[in-house]
Amino acid sequence: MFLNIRTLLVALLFSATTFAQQTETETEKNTNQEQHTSGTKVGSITVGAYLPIAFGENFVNDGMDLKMGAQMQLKLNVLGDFYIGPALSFFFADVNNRALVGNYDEMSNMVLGGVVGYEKQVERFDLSIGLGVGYSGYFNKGLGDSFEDNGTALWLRPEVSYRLANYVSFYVAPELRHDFMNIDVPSELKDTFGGVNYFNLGFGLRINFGTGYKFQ
Amino acid sequence: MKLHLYKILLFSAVLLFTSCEKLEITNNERLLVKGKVVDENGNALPNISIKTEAVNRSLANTRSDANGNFELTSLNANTDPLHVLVNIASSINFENENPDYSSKVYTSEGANSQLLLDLGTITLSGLGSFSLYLKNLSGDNNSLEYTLSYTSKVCRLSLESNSNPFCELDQVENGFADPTSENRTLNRESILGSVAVFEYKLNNGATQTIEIPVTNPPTTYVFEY
Repeated sequence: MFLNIRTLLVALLFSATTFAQQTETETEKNTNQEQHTSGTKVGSITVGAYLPIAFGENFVNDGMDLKMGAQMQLKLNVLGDFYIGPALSFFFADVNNRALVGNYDEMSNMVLGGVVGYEKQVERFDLSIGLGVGYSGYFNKGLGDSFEDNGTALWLRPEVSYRLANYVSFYVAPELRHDFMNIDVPSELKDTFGGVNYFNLGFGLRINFGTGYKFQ
Repeated sequence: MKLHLYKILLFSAVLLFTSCEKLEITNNERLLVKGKVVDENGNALPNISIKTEAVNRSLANTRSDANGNFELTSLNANTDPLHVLVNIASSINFENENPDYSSKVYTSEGANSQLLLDLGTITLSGLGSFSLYLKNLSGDNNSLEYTLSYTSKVCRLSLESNSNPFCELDQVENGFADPTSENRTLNRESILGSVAVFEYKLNNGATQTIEIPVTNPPTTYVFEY
């Protein structure tokens, strides 16, 4: 008799506990869903490595060895899933064909510009595509002096980021970029110095701002 | 010994001066320098060095190919004259890099403003030399006034105009010797096959001219007065 009552009490306790946990989980899930739909997404900042890859007939691809750089981008969500923000990137290069580019040793490139784009969340992924435009400076060193080439950079940058935690993601962003150069050259050199094509690769960390990025 | 010391001091002073002078490279600009190098018979000259320089610093360099053609992209100096050196080892002493041929130096008047420097066909002649020995005869009481003209082995031209591309008789030296002067020897390098012109006046008399051929090995001409 006593054994039956004890068995019943244990069974009741177990079922009650289980029911209570299930209820709590559902409540949390509902709360999260509520936060997910009602939280705000302020924006994000990405900081990471930048691997430049030039292609085509131009002075960078034919006359330089490109080295790794870094990039940084701030996205501010201004209208639903649309964002704007500043972007900065830089990389370095060694001159390997002086007869083609001129007698100097090193180049560092920096792009400073603005981006307009669209971003969509899919599960733990944030997918975005941005169009950027900005100033592209080529700072050249050699001969004990420095001088500059510059132009206007235009780039298209899709980005995939995966949320490692609520506010931290890992991103990968290929980038198709063209620099319209301002270098004065005779007509024979227009193809080489008129512009530079890049297919660059960026990857690194992304910090998300706003409760709308909270996930679980 | 003193001469060596003087040379070392002079060289050091040139180095010091040139290293202090700042080269300003023009932003956003590249030049194309092209042409063809041939000898006096029109045969292509391969492996001849071509450089652009400003303030004694190399802005670009290359060598002529098997057909004598060359093409190089150069930086440009913002304020200083630009030099295009053909077959010159160093712009400090303007020695010929290939000792068998003459050299050419093209220089802009002020800062260069041309983006395309097409030098066309550049003729580098073979080199020869001559030696003029001025001998003061004892007992004669003559004075000598002379002008020696010959073609330089380094031909200096303007980048803007291509006049006198062979630099005939571009080197002119004047001299005077009185009865007490010592004998002197004038050894000069010049273009093989050209002539040096020695014009002289003895005791302020009429001008007379002697032509000395430039040969290899050198022709030695002895002038007694």
